[in-house]
Amino acid sequence: MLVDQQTVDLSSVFVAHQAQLRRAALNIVRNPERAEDVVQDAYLKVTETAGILNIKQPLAYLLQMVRNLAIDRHRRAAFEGGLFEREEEGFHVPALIGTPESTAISRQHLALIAGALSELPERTRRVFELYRLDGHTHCAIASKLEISTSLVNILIHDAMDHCRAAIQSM
Amino acid sequence: MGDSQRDDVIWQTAVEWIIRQHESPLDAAAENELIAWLKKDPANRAAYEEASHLWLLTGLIPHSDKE
Repeated sequence: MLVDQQTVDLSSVFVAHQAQLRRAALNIVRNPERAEDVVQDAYLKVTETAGILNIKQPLAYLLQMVRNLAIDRHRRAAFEGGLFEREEEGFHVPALIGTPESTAISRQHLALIAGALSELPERTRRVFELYRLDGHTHCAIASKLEISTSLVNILIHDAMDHCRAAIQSM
Repeated sequence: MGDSQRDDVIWQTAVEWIIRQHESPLDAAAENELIAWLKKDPANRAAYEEASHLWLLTGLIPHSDKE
């Protein structure tokens, strides 16, 4: 793999499609400032993770990354907003979760996760991608693959267990 | 329960919370439940943070080839 070439490609695709990426983030976080943060964060991660992953469709990948970061940020903001309100009511909650900025992406972890996911049985990986990357529900995946929703959930857990084991084996 | 069994129960619970949050924002009751769980045991919080971090990382992995 031509690592340097890939880095250049991803960065230039990023720059060329910035407006589209920003819109994708805005659709989820619904706040221009936060959308901008997500796009900045995604750019940093693109440069941090350059060369580790084999990315064949740069724009699709960048959109996936921006959407995932936006959803993650949105979820955190909602949850931490809830925590804050409770603290004002005298319900003391220590800071529970690191902010995305403090969640440094370790290149080594990312490589291990990519490896772990590639080792999964085909069906498990399919379920996990449909759920994690494509945002399908348990029900939608169950009917698409003709399996039960409880099996869908078990396979998602299996994928996470396998990723965890990969990191712990380091 | 042995330690590794206990660790596994905590881990599975943490992953289940991440899955629930991935699907939709928690309602107030579920949020209270999660906060109570996180406060109950530092091991719960550690597992939740580990699962959150892994979840974020898995979202950065490109699709596999679908030929």
